[in-house]
Amino acid sequence: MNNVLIISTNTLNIINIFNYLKTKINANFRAIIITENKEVLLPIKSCIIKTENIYDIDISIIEKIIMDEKIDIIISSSEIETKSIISKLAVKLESGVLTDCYDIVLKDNIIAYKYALPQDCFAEVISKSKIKIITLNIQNTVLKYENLKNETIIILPNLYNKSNIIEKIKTDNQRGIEFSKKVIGIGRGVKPQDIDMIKQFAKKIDATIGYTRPVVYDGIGEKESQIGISGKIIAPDLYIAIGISGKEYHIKGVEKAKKIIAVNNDINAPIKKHSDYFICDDYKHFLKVMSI
Amino acid sequence: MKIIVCLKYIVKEENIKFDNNGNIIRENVEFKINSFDEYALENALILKDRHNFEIITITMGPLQTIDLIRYSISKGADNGFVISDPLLKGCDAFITALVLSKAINKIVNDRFMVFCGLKSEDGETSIVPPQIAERLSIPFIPLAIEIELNQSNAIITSQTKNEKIKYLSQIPCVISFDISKTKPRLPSLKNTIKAKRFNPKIFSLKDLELQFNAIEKSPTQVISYKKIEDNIEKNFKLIDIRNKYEVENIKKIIYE
Repeated sequence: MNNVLIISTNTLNIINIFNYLKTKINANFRAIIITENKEVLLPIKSCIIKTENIYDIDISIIEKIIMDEKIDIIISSSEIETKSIISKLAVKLESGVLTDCYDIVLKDNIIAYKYALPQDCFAEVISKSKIKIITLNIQNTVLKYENLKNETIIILPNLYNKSNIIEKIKTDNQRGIEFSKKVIGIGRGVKPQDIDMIKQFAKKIDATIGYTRPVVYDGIGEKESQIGISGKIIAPDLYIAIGISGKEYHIKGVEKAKKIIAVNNDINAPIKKHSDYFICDDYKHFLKVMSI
Repeated sequence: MKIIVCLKYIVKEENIKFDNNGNIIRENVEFKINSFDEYALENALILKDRHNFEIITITMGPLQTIDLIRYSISKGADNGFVISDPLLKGCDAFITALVLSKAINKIVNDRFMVFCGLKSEDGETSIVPPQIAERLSIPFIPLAIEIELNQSNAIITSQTKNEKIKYLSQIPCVISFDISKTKPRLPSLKNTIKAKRFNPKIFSLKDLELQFNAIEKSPTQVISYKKIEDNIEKNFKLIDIRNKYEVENIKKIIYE
């Protein structure tokens, strides 16, 4: 039987990963959560590594738990904070890390599946290391705590004392695109100077704005409004895609929308196959007609 | 003080092709600088403007990546190195971090910082920067959008999903930069002329006292690539926005 360790900085991630894994692997499960919070409820035997600055902890403590519990598989969530810990741990364990996987299959080895960006492919990847380390990118289906009982120990880790937090400010928590009933997606087919025009239209129809991955990486769109596999998965009542070709990694982010209207002056744009309505025209003309 | 900026060249999306081992073909294709690395470089150049630090860029890849170093010189970097070796072809992030750490150790002596992009646009693993930090036994701070210096420490502002966090870190340290409102500068004419004449030093694996075949040594492996199947296709309706009835129908949906 395998010994699996789930690691995250977020309790809900651990619960969701555990729910996902218990259908896939027959194993003994343990969890480590690295957090400031003392009160944590988890469905499995777990350890809370209590710290404010996760980047300053001496991760030998995690290495010791792995050795003591004879862990052979480490699964974590994929946010940057957790990945940073996992990456450092991988150096200590001399193990590879399979990152951002959306599925795993246990055969002779563990085969993990991840989207291979920017191509519209997925890759089958394996680790040749003795201890398998995988970061998962799965949708959280459990969104709140239930009645959980567990064995939890709290550990105060050794710190390197080489960095510390001097200020923390909550940033403007505007409701994100994932909560909007109407979203307009802006792709590379939109000229940067026309984005304001689209924003005005969005205001008129009470929609929020999202951006494709290339538009965000070009420094034009906000990161928090990125739509797609490496951004946000959204399910609005209406999605209007403007200047978006329709790469699969983007479509995966919007396929749950109730209605999709796509505007693209390329009649062969792949997005039309995923749309309810396709308008092959210049987006400025579309906006003008819709605004009258 | 030296700031080492790690740069990665990314094959342009439209040019991506795979070899028989499932690795992206990087030779003789049009490439661009990884977007996140632009922000790492810009933040380094801002510190150079303020404090006159030496900015050194490094990259790993085929010899073609010399152009990437020249690009960084055209923006204001002072020096650059390329790590290139046929045995590195097809290596994974674990090996990349190992090799870059060795190169950094060779280039710097005491007071330095390492700037990286948060992730690469092709792999998106985000593994390399924290692993460089772990191998060099120095602090690591990700998600940086700003940096300033305070006597012998770095003050790094990071933006997470919900918070802006300021860290005080000892130097040396590794910092990974996210895309931010700081706009990367354009190359200057003076530096572009300098860049045209610049020939970066090239390190082989032997120069770094390393000896291995990267594909064999890489702890992870791609078994195959497969196209994503079109799972959900719709019977789309082609709308003519010159037809007033079709326009009215669409307006009803949009303004509902």
